[in-house]
Amino acid sequence: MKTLEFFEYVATHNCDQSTTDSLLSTQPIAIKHAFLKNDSLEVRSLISKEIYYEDKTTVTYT
Amino acid sequence: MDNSNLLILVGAGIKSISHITIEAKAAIEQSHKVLFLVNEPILKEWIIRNNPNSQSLEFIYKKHLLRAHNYEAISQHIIRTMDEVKELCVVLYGHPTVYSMPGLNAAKAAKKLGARVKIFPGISAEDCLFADLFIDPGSHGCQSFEATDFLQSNRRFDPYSHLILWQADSIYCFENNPTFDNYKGVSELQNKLIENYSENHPIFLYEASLYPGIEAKIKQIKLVELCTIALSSITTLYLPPL
Repeated sequence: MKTLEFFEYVATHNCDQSTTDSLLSTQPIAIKHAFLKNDSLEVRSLISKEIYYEDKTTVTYT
Repeated sequence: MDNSNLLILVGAGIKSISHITIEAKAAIEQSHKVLFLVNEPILKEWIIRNNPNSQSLEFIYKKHLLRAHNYEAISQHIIRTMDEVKELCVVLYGHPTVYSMPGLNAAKAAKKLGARVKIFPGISAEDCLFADLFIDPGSHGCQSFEATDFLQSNRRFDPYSHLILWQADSIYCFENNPTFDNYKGVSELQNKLIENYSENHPIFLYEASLYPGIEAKIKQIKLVELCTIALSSITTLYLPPL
């Protein structure tokens, strides 16, 4: 699931914790960790990096 | 430009996608062109998906050293674009006329030139703060200042009302400068506040959530500790009434 689709789903489905956790598994590990840390600024920073690269599949989050 | 030209200024809110109103979404989808300046990348993608004829204003936002010059350049770009298309939608994050001079100046200029102008409100950081801190500004009254203006103009305020201070991370910073040292400004702010509150008066460092599923960040400290705390670019300060 692309990150846009993930947040769009969460925004429009009033997801409970278990659904959100399940959907988070589709996201890059660093975004998942920043999300679970409740850190908006870190999530934003990571997504900016992801979009910066044209081939998103080559991006490695550490 | 005449009254066949339409400018719609819309606010995208603070929390990505979640805060887009139905009227804002319709304006984005149906306008001939969309210009946008938003606070995070997912929303950029969302806007482009909903109207492929969309252009970011970010390249102007960082063009000049002084922010005031960038704001003026953005307003001018909006007016120039109105000569190219009949219906233009401009999307700004938060509320489009709250702490957002480029949109408001462009709207005033377009109206003066004879165009029709509509402004659709959005959810501002202050709206989020009221919700997340359980505050009704109608009780005690509420005052809201930009932090630099608060100090520079020596604004008078009533400490028996709610007090909100915006952009405290960049006091006296008029340039795009990511390495700006804010210590002097925050010290001055702390001193001014201590003239009106006790050193132990609570002050909340508030960061609205940027993403659905993520909560707001709220940190409560004592006023005397303000100088020792790092403020982020999205921190708003809130002091409850005496």
